[in-house]
Amino acid sequence: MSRIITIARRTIVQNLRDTGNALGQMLIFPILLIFILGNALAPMYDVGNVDPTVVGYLNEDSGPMGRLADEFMNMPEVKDLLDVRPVDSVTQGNNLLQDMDITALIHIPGDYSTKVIAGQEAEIAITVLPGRTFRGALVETVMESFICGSNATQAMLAMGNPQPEYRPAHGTIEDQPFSVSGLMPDAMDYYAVTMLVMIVMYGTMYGAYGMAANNLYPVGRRVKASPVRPGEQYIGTTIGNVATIFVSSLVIIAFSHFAYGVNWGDNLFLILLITFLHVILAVGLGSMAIAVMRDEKRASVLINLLVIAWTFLAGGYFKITLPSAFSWIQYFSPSFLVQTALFNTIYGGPFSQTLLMLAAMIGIILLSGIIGIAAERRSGQ
Amino acid sequence: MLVEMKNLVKRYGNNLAVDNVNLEIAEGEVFGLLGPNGAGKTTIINMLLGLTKVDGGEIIIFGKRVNGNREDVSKHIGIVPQELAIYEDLTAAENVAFFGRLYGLKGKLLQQRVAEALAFTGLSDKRKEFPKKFSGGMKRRLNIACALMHRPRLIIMDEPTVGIDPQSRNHILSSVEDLHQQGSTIIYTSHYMEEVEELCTRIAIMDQGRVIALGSKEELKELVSSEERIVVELAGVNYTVVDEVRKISGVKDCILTDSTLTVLASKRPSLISSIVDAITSAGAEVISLSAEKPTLESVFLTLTGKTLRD
Repeated sequence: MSRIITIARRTIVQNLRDTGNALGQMLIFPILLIFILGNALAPMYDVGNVDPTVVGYLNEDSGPMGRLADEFMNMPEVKDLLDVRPVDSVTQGNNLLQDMDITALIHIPGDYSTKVIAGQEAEIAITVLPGRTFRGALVETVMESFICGSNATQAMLAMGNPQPEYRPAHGTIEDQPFSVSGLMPDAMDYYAVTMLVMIVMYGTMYGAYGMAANNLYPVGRRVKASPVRPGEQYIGTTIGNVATIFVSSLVIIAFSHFAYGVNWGDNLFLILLITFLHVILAVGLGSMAIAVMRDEKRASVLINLLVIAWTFLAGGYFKITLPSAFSWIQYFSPSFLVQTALFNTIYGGPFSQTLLMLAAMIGIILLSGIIGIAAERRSGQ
Repeated sequence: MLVEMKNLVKRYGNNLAVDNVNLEIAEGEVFGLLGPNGAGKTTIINMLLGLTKVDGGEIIIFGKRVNGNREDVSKHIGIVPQELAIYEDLTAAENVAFFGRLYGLKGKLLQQRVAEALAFTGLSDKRKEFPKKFSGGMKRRLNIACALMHRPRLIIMDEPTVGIDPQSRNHILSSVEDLHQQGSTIIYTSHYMEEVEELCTRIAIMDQGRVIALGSKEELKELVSSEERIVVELAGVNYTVVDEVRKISGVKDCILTDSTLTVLASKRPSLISSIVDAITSAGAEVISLSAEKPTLESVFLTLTGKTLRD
């Protein structure tokens, strides 16, 4: 254990004294970028007073859930967000969509209540005009809050209350990012998250250098010749690099919050946990790149290209909307996984999705760790 | 014996890097490993350190098999690698202390040993400076200090004087002498014959993974006592000189460097006059001529047919 601490401490000192001042760049670069992008692109993120979104509404369900949906659509909070225009059929709704008279069509099928009460999967169909990402998301969010409230109502129905009063879950709408209460990311908030993710992803370079120094540099081989046990050198170096990048991340989070007023949400513990796992993931990926390629220069070029591609796919430079048929590509970007987890945590997105992202990150960490240690052992053959 | 290598074999694919090597090194010896690049010296060192897997045979150090006891054995070994293996962004004292901690030193003892190691290598006044400001020789000395601070029973020095100034080289060589006087066992590899001749009590000459000769320097020179090395300074040099000299009976090798012709040949009467005749007939002129005693270089040349630098 003491050898692991010795190696970790040496790694931290080395990072702090880095002649190329990579650590300084890791701090100054994102802090400046958050400021520049946050201010320059602010108008794109400032929705101001959003006019209600015009939606077509077709409710074919005469059951209790259908009645609740009608009640929900008439609630003042919803009317602030949606201008509901009842339609008689899907065809009529689609025609209105084609003519761009409505932005989205909400269709509650006739068997919705039956399925919900029977505990089967039931769907509300929402069709959105292409290119209306923001308003589409707003409609989806509003309907999600209906589903949240109706879940409670369904439970009351199941308990024997034949005519439960519909009550939306407290704060359901207000807590959503696209709400009238203003809790959506402005440009500064958005770029604080994406720049943090991007810069931590560049932590792969620390992992790559650490792995290269351990296996390809004479001084690393000298350490191996000392009484270190297999894996101790890898673990010590990784701990040192993770500590360096994690502390840098804390500085970025704190600075952006206090200097720029960036919203990091209420669950700071989860934000730090996600960031910590992300740091381990980045260092692990860098180590894996060296383990596989055995060439520091080639690995550095590959890492640089991958970080750019991952950041782009995650919408790190600017928001991107891929056609739904291709949206799965984003899941190949670790930056997307991390960003999704962070945005969900800050803006109250589905926790199950956050957990899924965390699980995927842990999977990548385990894989890269196994490959890294295996490569260390292989280097002695 | 402090170190025993029995039927040691290492293969890299089809290449036999170490071919059935048997060596024994006694406590207190300065043992020289001599051979050109690719002879297998560094591979043997890496196997001694447990860094490279042994494909055949076994290594026993301090009475323990290295395989299965690597951490235990390596606690008592100090390695001075061929390439500089120090951290440029740690000070001299921090470098030495870092390696000391890896060998289990701490507290006052660690600080004391750091001071001793730096004093031994003449770097006490540079303890707070970073190696990036050091000359090549000072870096080499720091490279050695890092290997000595845990007072190892066995010190392995792999080409420790490559590319340094004469002053640092002399300092390193006298340090090795001092370590020997203090009773340390040293395995020393070098390209420099004179270093090996000066320092080592026994020498193994290696080529193509095999030990081709083993003994004290006197015993090795005895192997070529029937040979003579003649050095001729020439004027009017042309390359037919080499061809003419090689035609002489008993000449084993002939190398022309600038205006110096080096001839390795079996001792026989009238050899020198035959060489002078050959040079004259080739159109060159003899300025000076000397016959030298056998050196390890000539031993190596005789045994392998090539120079150490090949």
